[in-house]
Amino acid sequence: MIEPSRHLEAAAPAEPSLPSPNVRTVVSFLLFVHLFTLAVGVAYNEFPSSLEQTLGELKFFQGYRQALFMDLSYTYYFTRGSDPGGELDIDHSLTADVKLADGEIRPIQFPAAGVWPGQRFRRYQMLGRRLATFSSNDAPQTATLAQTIATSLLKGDKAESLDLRLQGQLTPPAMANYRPGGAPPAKRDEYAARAFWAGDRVEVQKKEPARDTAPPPKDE
Amino acid sequence: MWTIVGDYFRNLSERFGQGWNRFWFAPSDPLTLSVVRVLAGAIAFYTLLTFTPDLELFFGPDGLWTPEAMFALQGPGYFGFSYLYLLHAPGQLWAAHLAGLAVLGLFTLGLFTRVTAVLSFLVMLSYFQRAFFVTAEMEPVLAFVLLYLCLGPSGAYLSLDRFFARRRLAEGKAAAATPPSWAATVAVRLIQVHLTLVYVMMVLGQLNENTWWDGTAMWWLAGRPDSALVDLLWLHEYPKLVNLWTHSFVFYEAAFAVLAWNRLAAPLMVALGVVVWGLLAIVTGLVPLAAIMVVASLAFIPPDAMRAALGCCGLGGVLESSRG
Repeated sequence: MIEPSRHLEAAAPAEPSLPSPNVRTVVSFLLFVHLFTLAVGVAYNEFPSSLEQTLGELKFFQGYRQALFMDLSYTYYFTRGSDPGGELDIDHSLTADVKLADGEIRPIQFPAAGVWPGQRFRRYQMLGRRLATFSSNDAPQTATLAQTIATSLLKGDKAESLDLRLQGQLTPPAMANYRPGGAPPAKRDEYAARAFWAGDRVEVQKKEPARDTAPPPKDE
Repeated sequence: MWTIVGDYFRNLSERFGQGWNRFWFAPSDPLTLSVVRVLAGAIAFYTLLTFTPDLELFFGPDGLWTPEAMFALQGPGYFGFSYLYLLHAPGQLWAAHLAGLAVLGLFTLGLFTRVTAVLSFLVMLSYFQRAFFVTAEMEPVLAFVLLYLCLGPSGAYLSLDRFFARRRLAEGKAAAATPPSWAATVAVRLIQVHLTLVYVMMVLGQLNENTWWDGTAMWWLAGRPDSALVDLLWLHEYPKLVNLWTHSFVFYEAAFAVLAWNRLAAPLMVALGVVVWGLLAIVTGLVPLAAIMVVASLAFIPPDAMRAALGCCGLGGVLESSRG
């Protein structure tokens, strides 16, 4: 036989209750650490102050964010428009003229025309943009990334050498100056290099852009 | 004097503690989390599927993203886990890829959800970390949504788990209703907080740029013919429309970060998000990003409103049967 109070307790729907204080304490601590690390990462990756820089580079925080793919500022500008120095945020394409063993030249383009679906197109665009970003900053990763791309293409085609060319599709004129039917937006060379086998590794030689002015005369 | 100050801080501490507990730990119906699981799982499945044609080019032994190349590019000390680093032969890669697709498929359908949620996060994380240099805006958002879905009972509704539980119930072997869960609250709150942070940072970033102030940003986006889904250069004839579109986008982002926290305004903000992000997807081609931003914003819809919305969509029957 069930006692009246126990009967009521058994019949009543289970009251939603908070977790135990111990559980709340542990979870609250973990939440605080997570959110603090996230906030530090956001600040660190976008114009950091000296304090934010120091906090952001602490091994634990940085490793945690990197492991969870959260080491970024989430500032999605979507366009750098006509801002000076912001021309990187444009469509990029990477072309490689691969010289095969029989002397034939096989052109490869990333992203290839008509690549589908759009997510793949976007990835290949990002490949070009990363190279353009590294190149514009003279970052040491420029040569590494170019060598990575060249090695993969040369191995894939069992080829001898290739010429890499990265171009940026410039945006049209400002809205007020745009005239339909005018000249299509120009392309700008962002990076060019020649890659070839040197023993068992691929050597990449950056091609300097052609000068449009004569070098200054040497002093006698 | 000191008594007043002491009372103030005691009161502040108590109120803060109560508010904190209510915000993070008040049990809630996991329906909202379940809906986010289905849609985010579908986006993750699609994202993984798009890696298929490039699998060997990206991750193969002679591919672009060899371990040596990734370690050199990311620099010393970078900490990113990817099980793809352990796979070397093309056969291993293909087997792992198909297994990953199966995991994401099961997660989307809601089978063994507590396990497949964690595995789905690890699968996507592995691809994002390994293909780090070709990821863009969408991947970090999808990553955090999948992470937080691991924390709560995201398979409580709209899942095969619930379907089989219902069958066991009919045989008298299982409990009836889905109980409210504090873990669901933590998971939903984390998505809400993280998404708000994304919106705040987007607004701050865009307001740091001239084109979003002078109203021409959408023109510059439309001017990227390789990215836009349709040719929108005819917009030059309607500069005020471009201005309005640009300002509306920034205004929406700023408003979302505030108004989404209001129970009454949240459904409106999510509905507006479908329009705002849909239009941005047309002009930028960033369809998966638009989709995951809308899906993540669903975390702000209270379960009762979500139930009513699903009922309007003709899914009420599915929901009732899954409630047990």
